Amino acid sequence: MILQVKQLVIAERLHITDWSIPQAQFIGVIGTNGAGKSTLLSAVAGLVPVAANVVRLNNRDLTQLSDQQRRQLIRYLPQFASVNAAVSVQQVLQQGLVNLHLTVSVAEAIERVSREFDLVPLLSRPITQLSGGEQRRVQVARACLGDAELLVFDEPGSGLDIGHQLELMDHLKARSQTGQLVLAALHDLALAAQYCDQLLLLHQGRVVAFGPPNEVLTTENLAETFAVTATWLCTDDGVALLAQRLHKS
Amino acid sequence: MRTSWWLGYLSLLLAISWVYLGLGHYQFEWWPSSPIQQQLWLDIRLPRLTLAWLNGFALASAGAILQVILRNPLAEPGLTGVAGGAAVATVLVLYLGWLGALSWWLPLVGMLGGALSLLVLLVIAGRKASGNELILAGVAVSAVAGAMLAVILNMAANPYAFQELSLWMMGSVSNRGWPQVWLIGPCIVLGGLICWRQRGFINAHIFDQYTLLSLGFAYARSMWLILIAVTSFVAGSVVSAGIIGFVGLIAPHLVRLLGVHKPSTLVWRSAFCGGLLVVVVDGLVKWLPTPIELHLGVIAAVIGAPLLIVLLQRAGRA
Repeated sequence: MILQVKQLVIAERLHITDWSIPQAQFIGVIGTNGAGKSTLLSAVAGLVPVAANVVRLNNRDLTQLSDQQRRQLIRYLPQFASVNAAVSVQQVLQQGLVNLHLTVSVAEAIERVSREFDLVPLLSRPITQLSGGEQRRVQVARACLGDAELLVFDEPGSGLDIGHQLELMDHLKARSQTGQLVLAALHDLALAAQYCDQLLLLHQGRVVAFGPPNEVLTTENLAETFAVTATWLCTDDGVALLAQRLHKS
Repeated sequence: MRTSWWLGYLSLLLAISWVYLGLGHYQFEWWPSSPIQQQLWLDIRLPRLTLAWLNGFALASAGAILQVILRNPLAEPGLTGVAGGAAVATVLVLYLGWLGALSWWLPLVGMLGGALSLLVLLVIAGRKASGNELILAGVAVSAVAGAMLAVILNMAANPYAFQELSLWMMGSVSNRGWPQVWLIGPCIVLGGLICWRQRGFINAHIFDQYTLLSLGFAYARSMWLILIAVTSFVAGSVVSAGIIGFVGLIAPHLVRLLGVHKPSTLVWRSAFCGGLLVVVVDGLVKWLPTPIELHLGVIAAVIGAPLLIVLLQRAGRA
Protein backbone atom coordinates (compact mmCIF):
# COMPACT_ATOMS: atom_id res chain seq x y z
CA MET A 1 0.00 0.00 0.00
CA ILE A 2 1.47 3.35 -0.97
CA LEU A 3 -1.06 5.31 1.10
CA GLN A 4 -3.23 4.01 3.89
CA VAL A 5 -5.70 6.03 5.94
CA LYS A 6 -7.41 4.33 8.87
CA GLN A 7 -9.82 5.81 11.40
CA LEU A 8 -9.03 9.39 10.47
CA VAL A 9 -11.38 11.48 12.56
CA ILE A 10 -11.09 15.25 12.72
CA ALA A 11 -13.75 16.79 14.91
CA GLU A 12 -17.02 17.07 12.98
CA ARG A 13 -15.25 17.71 9.71
CA LEU A 14 -13.88 14.38 8.60
CA HIS A 15 -14.51 10.73 9.37
CA ILE A 16 -12.72 8.21 7.20
CA THR A 17 -12.70 4.63 8.44
CA ASP A 18 -10.55 2.86 5.87
CA TRP A 19 -9.11 4.14 2.62
CA SER A 20 -6.06 2.80 0.89
CA ILE A 21 -4.31 3.23 -2.43
CA PRO A 22 -2.19 0.30 -3.63
CA GLN A 23 0.05 2.00 -6.20
CA ALA A 24 1.07 5.36 -7.64
CA GLN A 25 -1.72 6.90 -9.67
CA PHE A 26 -3.66 10.11 -10.19
CA ILE A 27 -6.40 10.38 -7.56
CA GLY A 28 -9.02 13.11 -7.66
CA VAL A 29 -10.74 14.12 -4.45
CA ILE A 30 -14.16 15.55 -5.22
CA GLY A 31 -17.14 16.75 -3.22
CA THR A 32 -19.20 19.82 -2.45
CA ASN A 33 -17.84 22.88 -0.63
CA GLY A 34 -17.20 21.93 2.96
CA ALA A 35 -17.17 18.19 2.23
CA GLY A 36 -13.78 17.80 3.91
CA LYS A 37 -11.46 17.73 0.87
CA SER A 38 -8.99 20.31 2.16
CA THR A 39 -9.05 18.81 5.67
CA LEU A 40 -8.26 15.36 4.28
CA LEU A 41 -5.43 16.70 2.13
CA SER A 42 -3.82 18.70 4.94
CA ALA A 43 -4.02 15.65 7.23
CA VAL A 44 -2.36 13.44 4.62
CA ALA A 45 0.31 16.12 4.10
CA GLY A 46 1.01 16.08 7.82
CA LEU A 47 -0.13 19.63 8.60
CA VAL A 48 -2.89 18.54 10.96
CA PRO A 49 -1.79 16.51 13.97
CA VAL A 50 -3.19 12.96 13.74
CA ALA A 51 -2.82 9.91 15.99
CA ALA A 52 -0.16 7.29 15.36
CA ASN A 53 -0.74 4.86 12.47
CA VAL A 54 -3.73 6.80 11.15
CA VAL A 55 -1.91 7.85 7.99
CA ARG A 56 0.76 5.54 6.57
CA LEU A 57 2.85 6.34 3.51
CA ASN A 58 4.72 3.39 1.94
CA ASN A 59 4.34 1.49 5.22
CA ARG A 60 5.79 4.33 7.30
CA ASP A 61 3.72 6.01 9.96
CA LEU A 62 3.39 9.70 9.13
CA THR A 63 3.70 10.75 12.78
CA GLN A 64 7.01 8.89 13.09
CA LEU A 65 8.62 10.91 10.29
CA SER A 66 10.71 13.96 11.16
CA ASP A 67 9.86 17.33 9.59
CA GLN A 68 12.81 16.87 7.25
CA GLN A 69 11.78 13.34 6.20
CA ARG A 70 8.21 14.47 5.58
CA ARG A 71 9.59 17.30 3.48
CA GLN A 72 11.47 14.90 1.20
CA LEU A 73 8.48 12.57 0.71
CA ILE A 74 5.54 14.93 0.39
CA ARG A 75 4.84 18.12 -1.58
CA TYR A 76 1.84 20.13 -0.49
CA LEU A 77 0.08 22.90 -2.35
CA PRO A 78 -2.52 24.67 -0.21
CA GLN A 79 -5.73 26.00 -1.69
CA PHE A 80 -4.80 29.63 -1.12
CA ALA A 81 -1.04 29.54 -1.56
CA SER A 82 0.43 33.01 -1.76
CA VAL A 83 3.71 34.88 -1.72
CA ASN A 84 3.65 38.13 0.21
CA ALA A 85 6.92 39.74 -0.82
CA ALA A 86 7.81 41.30 -4.16
CA VAL A 87 10.54 38.75 -4.89
CA SER A 88 11.17 37.40 -8.39
CA VAL A 89 9.69 34.11 -9.59
CA GLN A 90 13.23 32.75 -9.73
CA GLN A 91 13.70 33.58 -6.03
CA VAL A 92 10.34 32.01 -5.14
CA LEU A 93 11.39 28.76 -6.81
CA GLN A 94 14.79 28.94 -5.12
CA GLN A 95 13.08 29.38 -1.76
CA GLY A 96 10.78 26.51 -2.66
CA LEU A 97 13.84 24.24 -2.66
CA VAL A 98 14.61 24.93 0.97
CA ASN A 99 15.33 21.79 3.04
CA LEU A 100 15.15 19.56 -0.06
CA HIS A 101 17.85 17.01 -0.84
CA LEU A 102 18.21 17.22 -4.59
CA THR A 103 19.69 14.67 -6.98
CA VAL A 104 20.28 17.39 -9.58
CA SER A 105 21.67 20.92 -9.30
CA VAL A 106 19.49 23.79 -8.09
CA ALA A 107 19.59 25.47 -11.48
CA GLU A 108 18.55 22.26 -13.20
CA ALA A 109 15.67 21.62 -10.80
CA ILE A 110 14.34 25.13 -11.32
CA GLU A 111 14.77 24.97 -15.08
CA ARG A 112 12.88 21.69 -15.26
CA VAL A 113 9.74 22.97 -13.53
CA SER A 114 9.83 26.36 -15.22
CA ARG A 115 9.85 24.63 -18.60
CA GLU A 116 7.15 22.24 -17.48
CA PHE A 117 4.82 25.00 -16.35
CA ASP A 118 5.64 27.60 -18.97
CA LEU A 119 7.36 30.00 -16.54
CA VAL A 120 10.62 30.76 -18.36
CA PRO A 121 9.49 34.22 -19.58
CA LEU A 122 8.28 35.10 -16.05
CA LEU A 123 11.38 34.09 -14.06
CA SER A 124 12.80 37.56 -13.54
CA ARG A 125 9.49 39.28 -12.81
CA PRO A 126 8.31 40.06 -9.25
CA ILE A 127 5.65 37.53 -8.36
CA THR A 128 3.34 40.18 -6.91
CA GLN A 129 3.04 41.75 -10.38
CA LEU A 130 1.80 38.54 -12.03
CA SER A 131 -1.86 37.72 -12.65
CA GLY A 132 -3.68 35.31 -10.33
CA GLY A 133 -3.40 32.44 -12.79
CA GLU A 134 0.30 33.05 -13.40
CA GLN A 135 0.93 33.12 -9.64
CA ARG A 136 -0.94 29.84 -9.32
CA ARG A 137 1.30 28.28 -11.95
CA VAL A 138 4.36 29.42 -10.01
CA GLN A 139 2.90 27.82 -6.88
CA VAL A 140 2.19 24.57 -8.71
CA ALA A 141 5.73 24.58 -10.08
CA ARG A 142 7.08 25.27 -6.60
CA ALA A 143 5.20 22.23 -5.29
CA CYS A 144 6.52 20.05 -8.12
CA LEU A 145 10.21 20.79 -7.39
CA GLY A 146 12.45 17.79 -6.76
CA ASP A 147 11.38 14.19 -6.41
CA ALA A 148 8.62 13.22 -4.01
CA GLU A 149 6.56 10.11 -3.38
CA LEU A 150 3.34 11.97 -2.80
CA LEU A 151 1.99 15.18 -4.32
CA VAL A 152 -0.91 16.68 -2.37
CA PHE A 153 -2.50 19.51 -4.36
CA ASP A 154 -5.54 21.43 -3.18
CA GLU A 155 -7.40 22.69 -6.25
CA PRO A 156 -4.23 23.14 -8.31
CA GLY A 157 -6.06 24.45 -11.37
CA SER A 158 -8.03 27.24 -9.72
CA GLY A 159 -7.63 30.47 -11.65
CA LEU A 160 -5.92 28.83 -14.64
CA ASP A 161 -7.19 29.28 -18.19
CA ILE A 162 -8.41 26.18 -20.02
CA GLY A 163 -5.16 25.66 -21.92
CA HIS A 164 -2.99 25.81 -18.83
CA GLN A 165 -5.51 23.70 -16.92
CA LEU A 166 -5.24 20.90 -19.46
CA GLU A 167 -1.47 21.28 -19.48
CA LEU A 168 -1.42 21.01 -15.69
CA MET A 169 -3.55 17.86 -15.75
CA ASP A 170 -1.26 16.37 -18.40
CA HIS A 171 1.77 17.04 -16.19
CA LEU A 172 0.13 15.62 -13.09
CA LYS A 173 -0.94 12.55 -15.06
CA ALA A 174 2.59 12.11 -16.37
CA ARG A 175 4.00 12.39 -12.86
CA SER A 176 1.58 9.76 -11.57
CA GLN A 177 2.79 7.45 -14.35
CA THR A 178 6.41 7.84 -13.28
CA GLY A 179 5.75 6.55 -9.78
CA GLN A 180 4.46 9.58 -7.86
CA LEU A 181 1.11 9.34 -6.13
CA VAL A 182 -0.86 12.46 -7.02
CA LEU A 183 -3.71 13.46 -4.75
CA ALA A 184 -5.61 16.49 -5.98
CA ALA A 185 -8.82 18.14 -4.81
CA LEU A 186 -10.74 19.06 -7.96
CA HIS A 187 -13.94 20.93 -8.67
CA ASP A 188 -14.16 20.34 -12.42
CA LEU A 189 -15.83 16.92 -12.57
CA ALA A 190 -15.34 16.63 -16.33
CA LEU A 191 -11.58 17.17 -16.03
CA ALA A 192 -11.50 14.79 -13.05
CA ALA A 193 -13.32 12.13 -15.05
CA GLN A 194 -11.04 12.64 -18.04
CA TYR A 195 -7.69 12.50 -16.23
CA CYS A 196 -7.95 10.73 -12.89
CA ASP A 197 -7.39 7.01 -12.45
CA GLN A 198 -9.60 6.96 -9.41
CA LEU A 199 -11.91 9.40 -7.68
CA LEU A 200 -12.72 9.79 -4.01
CA LEU A 201 -16.14 11.31 -3.48
CA LEU A 202 -16.58 12.93 -0.08
CA HIS A 203 -19.81 14.19 1.41
CA GLN A 204 -20.13 15.75 4.84
CA GLY A 205 -16.76 14.41 5.86
CA ARG A 206 -17.45 10.81 4.86
CA VAL A 207 -16.46 8.70 1.88
CA VAL A 208 -19.42 8.17 -0.44
CA ALA A 209 -17.54 6.32 -3.15
CA PHE A 210 -14.01 5.47 -4.21
CA GLY A 211 -13.11 3.93 -7.55
CA PRO A 212 -12.73 4.60 -11.27
CA PRO A 213 -14.58 7.72 -12.49
CA ASN A 214 -17.41 5.82 -14.21
CA GLU A 215 -18.21 3.98 -10.98
CA VAL A 216 -18.06 7.09 -8.79
CA LEU A 217 -19.80 9.67 -10.96
CA THR A 218 -23.08 7.79 -11.17
CA THR A 219 -26.42 9.51 -11.49
CA GLU A 220 -27.34 8.53 -7.92
CA ASN A 221 -24.08 9.75 -6.40
CA LEU A 222 -24.25 13.08 -8.20
CA ALA A 223 -27.86 13.55 -7.17
CA GLU A 224 -27.13 12.62 -3.58
CA THR A 225 -24.05 14.78 -3.07
CA PHE A 226 -24.17 17.67 -5.53
CA ALA A 227 -27.97 17.74 -6.01
CA VAL A 228 -27.60 17.76 -9.81
CA THR A 229 -28.65 15.55 -12.69
CA ALA A 230 -25.92 15.01 -15.21
CA THR A 231 -25.58 14.09 -18.83
CA TRP A 232 -22.12 12.97 -19.85
CA LEU A 233 -20.62 13.54 -23.29
CA CYS A 234 -17.58 11.35 -23.74
CA THR A 235 -15.48 11.30 -26.90
CA ASP A 236 -11.88 10.35 -27.57
CA ASP A 237 -10.99 14.04 -27.35
CA GLY A 238 -12.36 14.71 -23.90
CA VAL A 239 -15.24 14.67 -21.50
CA ALA A 240 -17.98 17.21 -20.95
CA LEU A 241 -20.68 17.35 -18.36
CA LEU A 242 -24.08 18.92 -18.79
CA ALA A 243 -25.48 19.42 -15.33
CA GLN A 244 -28.83 20.65 -14.16
CA ARG A 245 -29.85 21.55 -10.67
CA LEU A 246 -32.22 19.11 -9.04
CA HIS A 247 -35.28 20.81 -7.62
CA LYS A 248 -35.72 19.77 -4.05
CA SER A 249 -39.09 18.14 -3.56
CA MET B 1 25.61 44.84 -6.41
CA ARG B 2 26.63 43.49 -3.04
CA THR B 3 30.09 45.05 -2.96
CA SER B 4 28.81 48.38 -4.22
CA TRP B 5 26.16 48.37 -1.50
CA TRP B 6 28.75 47.75 1.20
CA LEU B 7 31.15 50.31 -0.22
CA GLY B 8 28.39 52.90 -0.41
CA TYR B 9 27.23 52.12 3.09
CA LEU B 10 30.69 52.23 4.64
CA SER B 11 31.63 55.52 3.02
CA LEU B 12 28.31 57.06 4.06
CA LEU B 13 28.74 55.77 7.61
CA LEU B 14 32.30 57.07 7.73
CA ALA B 15 31.33 60.52 6.46
CA ILE B 16 28.37 60.82 8.84
CA SER B 17 30.39 59.51 11.78
CA TRP B 18 33.10 62.08 11.09
CA VAL B 19 30.60 64.92 11.10
CA TYR B 20 28.97 63.43 14.20
CA LEU B 21 32.26 63.27 16.10
CA GLY B 22 33.11 66.83 15.19
CA LEU B 23 29.72 68.12 16.26
CA GLY B 24 29.72 69.78 19.67
CA HIS B 25 27.20 71.93 21.45
CA TYR B 26 28.63 75.25 20.37
CA GLN B 27 31.07 74.54 17.61
CA PHE B 28 32.05 72.17 14.89
CA GLU B 29 35.56 71.08 14.03
CA TRP B 30 37.05 68.70 11.52
CA TRP B 31 39.88 67.40 13.66
CA PRO B 32 40.49 67.17 17.45
CA SER B 33 43.20 69.82 17.84
CA SER B 34 43.82 69.84 21.59
CA PRO B 35 44.26 66.93 24.02
CA ILE B 36 40.96 67.91 25.65
CA GLN B 37 39.26 67.75 22.29
CA GLN B 38 40.86 64.39 21.67
CA GLN B 39 39.51 63.11 24.95
CA LEU B 40 36.08 64.50 24.06
CA TRP B 41 36.10 62.71 20.72
CA LEU B 42 37.28 59.38 21.99
CA ASP B 43 35.80 59.08 25.49
CA ILE B 44 32.46 60.84 25.12
CA ARG B 45 31.44 61.13 21.49
CA LEU B 46 32.75 57.80 20.20
CA PRO B 47 30.88 55.65 22.76
CA ARG B 48 27.75 57.73 22.18
CA LEU B 49 28.11 57.22 18.41
CA THR B 50 28.64 53.49 18.90
CA LEU B 51 25.68 53.21 21.22
CA ALA B 52 23.45 55.13 18.80
CA TRP B 53 24.50 52.92 15.90
CA LEU B 54 24.02 49.70 17.88
CA ASN B 55 20.59 50.81 19.06
CA GLY B 56 19.50 51.54 15.53
CA PHE B 57 20.93 48.23 14.40
CA ALA B 58 19.05 46.29 17.10
CA LEU B 59 15.73 48.09 16.70
CA ALA B 60 15.74 47.91 12.91
CA SER B 61 16.60 44.19 12.94
CA ALA B 62 13.81 43.54 15.40
CA GLY B 63 11.40 45.60 13.30
CA ALA B 64 12.35 43.89 10.04
CA ILE B 65 12.08 40.41 11.57
CA LEU B 66 8.70 41.21 13.12
CA GLN B 67 7.49 42.52 9.76
CA VAL B 68 8.65 39.34 8.03
CA ILE B 69 7.39 36.74 10.50
CA LEU B 70 4.07 38.48 11.18
CA ARG B 71 3.79 39.07 7.39
CA ASN B 72 2.81 42.60 8.18
CA PRO B 73 4.62 45.76 7.06
CA LEU B 74 3.40 47.73 10.07
CA ALA B 75 4.96 45.59 12.77
CA GLU B 76 7.58 47.32 14.91
CA PRO B 77 8.93 46.82 18.46
CA GLY B 78 7.22 49.99 19.73
CA LEU B 79 3.88 49.56 17.99
CA THR B 80 3.64 45.88 18.91
CA GLY B 81 4.28 46.59 22.59
CA VAL B 82 7.50 44.53 22.77
CA ALA B 83 9.54 47.59 23.75
CA GLY B 84 6.89 48.57 26.28
CA GLY B 85 6.98 45.13 27.87
CA ALA B 86 10.76 45.20 28.07
CA ALA B 87 10.61 48.69 29.61
CA VAL B 88 8.08 47.67 32.28
CA ALA B 89 10.18 44.72 33.39
CA THR B 90 13.37 46.82 33.42
CA VAL B 91 11.84 49.77 35.26
CA LEU B 92 10.27 47.42 37.77
CA VAL B 93 13.54 45.76 38.81
CA LEU B 94 15.31 49.15 38.81
CA TYR B 95 12.56 50.65 40.92
CA LEU B 96 12.57 47.79 43.38
CA GLY B 97 16.31 48.14 43.55
CA TRP B 98 16.86 44.48 42.75
CA LEU B 99 19.45 45.30 40.10
CA GLY B 100 21.73 48.23 39.34
CA ALA B 101 21.46 50.19 36.07
CA LEU B 102 24.54 48.44 34.69
CA SER B 103 23.80 44.92 35.85
CA TRP B 104 24.38 42.22 33.27
CA TRP B 105 21.09 40.65 34.32
CA LEU B 106 19.16 43.70 33.16
CA PRO B 107 18.98 42.67 29.47
CA LEU B 108 17.65 39.26 30.54
CA VAL B 109 14.92 40.90 32.59
CA GLY B 110 14.09 43.14 29.63
CA MET B 111 13.96 40.08 27.37
CA LEU B 112 11.48 38.39 29.68
CA GLY B 113 9.22 41.44 29.63
CA GLY B 114 9.50 41.78 25.85
CA ALA B 115 8.84 38.08 25.27
CA LEU B 116 5.81 38.18 27.50
CA SER B 117 4.23 41.07 25.60
CA LEU B 118 5.05 39.43 22.26
CA LEU B 119 3.29 36.27 23.41
CA VAL B 120 0.26 38.25 24.54
CA LEU B 121 0.24 39.98 21.16
CA LEU B 122 0.38 36.66 19.29
CA VAL B 123 -2.48 35.31 21.40
CA ILE B 124 -4.67 38.39 20.88
CA ALA B 125 -4.01 38.95 17.19
CA GLY B 126 -3.03 35.50 15.93
CA ARG B 127 -0.28 34.89 13.42
CA LYS B 128 -2.37 35.62 10.35
CA ALA B 129 -3.56 38.94 11.66
CA SER B 130 -4.30 41.73 9.22
CA GLY B 131 -2.66 45.13 9.65
CA ASN B 132 -5.61 46.52 11.56
CA GLU B 133 -5.87 43.60 13.97
CA LEU B 134 -2.17 43.71 14.67
CA ILE B 135 -2.13 47.44 15.30
CA LEU B 136 -5.19 47.13 17.56
CA ALA B 137 -3.63 44.31 19.55
CA GLY B 138 -0.34 46.23 19.68
CA VAL B 139 -2.15 49.31 20.96
CA ALA B 140 -3.77 47.16 23.64
CA VAL B 141 -0.47 45.62 24.73
CA SER B 142 1.30 49.02 24.65
CA ALA B 143 -1.54 50.54 26.65
CA VAL B 144 -1.20 47.90 29.34
CA ALA B 145 2.56 48.42 29.41
CA GLY B 146 2.07 52.21 29.53
CA ALA B 147 -0.41 51.90 32.39
CA MET B 148 1.97 49.71 34.37
CA LEU B 149 4.82 52.15 33.76
CA ALA B 150 2.60 55.01 34.92
CA VAL B 151 1.77 53.12 38.11
CA ILE B 152 5.45 52.48 38.82
CA LEU B 153 6.33 56.13 38.12
CA ASN B 154 3.45 57.32 40.24
CA MET B 155 4.77 55.33 43.14
CA ALA B 156 8.28 56.67 42.72
CA ALA B 157 9.86 57.39 46.07
CA ASN B 158 10.90 60.98 45.30
CA PRO B 159 10.78 63.57 42.48
CA TYR B 160 14.33 62.76 41.43
CA ALA B 161 13.56 59.09 40.97
CA PHE B 162 10.43 60.08 39.05
CA GLN B 163 12.34 62.41 36.76
CA GLU B 164 15.12 59.94 36.23
CA LEU B 165 12.78 57.13 35.28
CA SER B 166 10.60 59.24 33.00
CA LEU B 167 13.58 60.79 31.22
CA TRP B 168 15.11 57.35 30.82
CA MET B 169 11.95 56.13 29.15
CA MET B 170 12.06 58.87 26.53
CA GLY B 171 15.08 57.21 25.02
CA SER B 172 18.50 58.79 24.77
CA VAL B 173 22.11 57.88 24.17
CA SER B 174 23.60 60.96 25.80
CA ASN B 175 25.46 60.81 29.12
CA ARG B 176 26.23 57.18 28.51
CA GLY B 177 29.46 55.41 27.78
CA TRP B 178 31.17 52.14 27.03
CA PRO B 179 29.38 50.27 29.89
CA GLN B 180 26.06 50.70 28.06
CA VAL B 181 27.71 49.53 24.85
CA TRP B 182 28.67 46.40 26.76
CA LEU B 183 25.04 45.94 27.80
CA ILE B 184 23.63 46.02 24.27
CA GLY B 185 26.59 44.34 22.56
CA PRO B 186 25.99 40.78 23.80
CA CYS B 187 22.25 41.12 23.07
CA ILE B 188 23.04 41.99 19.46
CA VAL B 189 25.53 39.14 19.17
CA LEU B 190 22.95 36.67 20.52
CA GLY B 191 20.14 37.97 18.32
CA GLY B 192 22.39 38.18 15.28
CA LEU B 193 23.69 34.62 15.70
CA ILE B 194 20.17 33.22 16.04
CA CYS B 195 19.00 35.13 12.96
CA TRP B 196 21.98 33.92 10.97
CA ARG B 197 21.28 30.29 11.96
CA GLN B 198 17.56 30.70 11.20
CA ARG B 199 17.91 32.66 7.96
CA GLY B 200 16.35 29.82 5.94
CA PHE B 201 13.32 29.89 8.20
CA ILE B 202 13.09 33.69 7.99
CA ASN B 203 13.35 33.56 4.20
CA ALA B 204 10.61 30.93 3.96
CA HIS B 205 8.17 33.49 5.35
CA ILE B 206 7.60 34.80 1.85
CA PHE B 207 5.18 31.85 1.63
CA ASP B 208 1.80 31.63 3.35
CA GLN B 209 1.54 29.78 6.65
CA TYR B 210 0.29 26.45 5.22
CA THR B 211 3.02 26.28 2.61
CA LEU B 212 5.60 27.20 5.25
CA LEU B 213 4.41 24.37 7.50
CA SER B 214 5.01 21.88 4.68
CA LEU B 215 8.58 23.02 4.03
CA GLY B 216 10.21 20.80 6.64
CA PHE B 217 11.12 23.29 9.38
CA ALA B 218 10.81 22.42 13.05
CA TYR B 219 8.31 25.24 13.22
CA ALA B 220 7.76 25.63 16.95
CA ARG B 221 11.47 25.47 17.75
CA SER B 222 12.43 27.97 15.06
CA MET B 223 9.65 30.34 16.08
CA TRP B 224 10.80 30.29 19.70
CA LEU B 225 14.37 31.03 18.64
CA ILE B 226 13.23 33.96 16.52
CA LEU B 227 11.20 35.20 19.46
CA ILE B 228 14.32 35.10 21.63
CA ALA B 229 16.29 36.97 18.96
CA VAL B 230 13.70 39.74 18.61
CA THR B 231 13.33 40.23 22.35
CA SER B 232 17.10 40.13 22.75
CA PHE B 233 17.51 42.99 20.24
CA VAL B 234 14.72 45.03 21.82
CA ALA B 235 15.77 44.39 25.42
CA GLY B 236 19.37 45.34 24.61
CA SER B 237 18.16 48.61 23.18
CA VAL B 238 15.71 49.35 26.01
CA VAL B 239 18.17 48.71 28.84
CA SER B 240 20.94 50.71 27.17
CA ALA B 241 18.97 53.68 25.85
CA GLY B 242 15.33 53.53 26.92
CA ILE B 243 12.48 53.52 24.40
CA ILE B 244 13.28 54.74 20.89
CA GLY B 245 10.29 54.30 18.61
CA PHE B 246 9.74 54.16 14.86
CA VAL B 247 13.28 53.19 13.82
CA GLY B 248 12.16 49.57 13.55
CA LEU B 249 9.31 50.65 11.31
CA ILE B 250 11.05 53.14 9.06
CA ALA B 251 14.34 51.34 8.33
CA PRO B 252 12.79 48.25 6.65
CA HIS B 253 10.54 50.50 4.58
CA LEU B 254 13.51 52.51 3.36
CA VAL B 255 15.29 49.29 2.40
CA ARG B 256 12.20 48.05 0.56
CA LEU B 257 12.07 51.34 -1.33
CA LEU B 258 15.63 50.54 -2.47
CA GLY B 259 14.21 47.37 -4.03
CA VAL B 260 15.24 44.73 -1.48
CA HIS B 261 12.48 42.20 -0.78
CA LYS B 262 14.21 38.93 0.08
CA PRO B 263 13.60 38.58 3.84
CA SER B 264 17.11 37.77 5.07
CA THR B 265 18.66 40.53 2.95
CA LEU B 266 15.93 42.87 4.12
CA VAL B 267 16.73 42.13 7.77
CA TRP B 268 20.49 42.70 7.43
CA ARG B 269 20.26 45.82 5.33
CA SER B 270 17.53 47.24 7.58
CA ALA B 271 19.80 46.64 10.54
CA PHE B 272 22.66 48.60 8.98
CA CYS B 273 20.32 51.33 7.71
CA GLY B 274 18.75 51.56 11.17
CA GLY B 275 22.18 52.12 12.70
CA LEU B 276 22.86 54.96 10.30
CA LEU B 277 19.40 56.41 10.85
CA VAL B 278 19.78 56.63 14.63
CA VAL B 279 23.26 58.18 14.26
CA VAL B 280 21.77 60.85 11.98
CA VAL B 281 18.85 61.49 14.33
CA ASP B 282 21.18 61.71 17.33
CA GLY B 283 23.35 64.10 15.30
CA LEU B 284 20.22 66.22 14.89
CA VAL B 285 19.67 66.04 18.64
CA LYS B 286 23.14 67.50 19.18
CA TRP B 287 22.91 70.02 16.37
CA LEU B 288 19.43 71.46 17.10
CA PRO B 289 19.93 74.66 19.13
CA THR B 290 17.33 73.94 21.81
CA PRO B 291 17.79 75.30 25.36
CA ILE B 292 17.56 71.77 26.79
CA GLU B 293 18.96 68.91 24.72
CA LEU B 294 16.01 66.97 23.34
CA HIS B 295 15.82 63.23 23.84
CA LEU B 296 16.62 60.96 20.92
CA GLY B 297 13.35 59.04 21.40
CA VAL B 298 11.42 62.29 21.21
CA ILE B 299 13.02 63.39 17.94
CA ALA B 300 12.57 59.89 16.52
CA ALA B 301 8.87 60.07 17.38
CA VAL B 302 8.52 63.59 15.93
CA ILE B 303 9.99 62.38 12.64
CA GLY B 304 8.60 58.84 12.73
CA ALA B 305 4.96 59.42 13.66
CA PRO B 306 4.11 61.47 10.52
CA LEU B 307 5.91 58.84 8.44
CA LEU B 308 3.69 56.18 10.01
CA ILE B 309 0.63 58.16 8.91
CA VAL B 310 2.00 58.27 5.36
CA LEU B 311 2.67 54.52 5.43
CA LEU B 312 -0.82 53.76 6.76
CA GLN B 313 -2.31 55.85 3.99
CA ARG B 314 -0.25 54.04 1.38
CA ALA B 315 -1.21 50.67 2.89
CA GLY B 316 -4.87 51.73 2.79
CA ARG B 317 -4.65 52.63 -0.88
CA ALA B 318 -2.90 49.39 -1.87
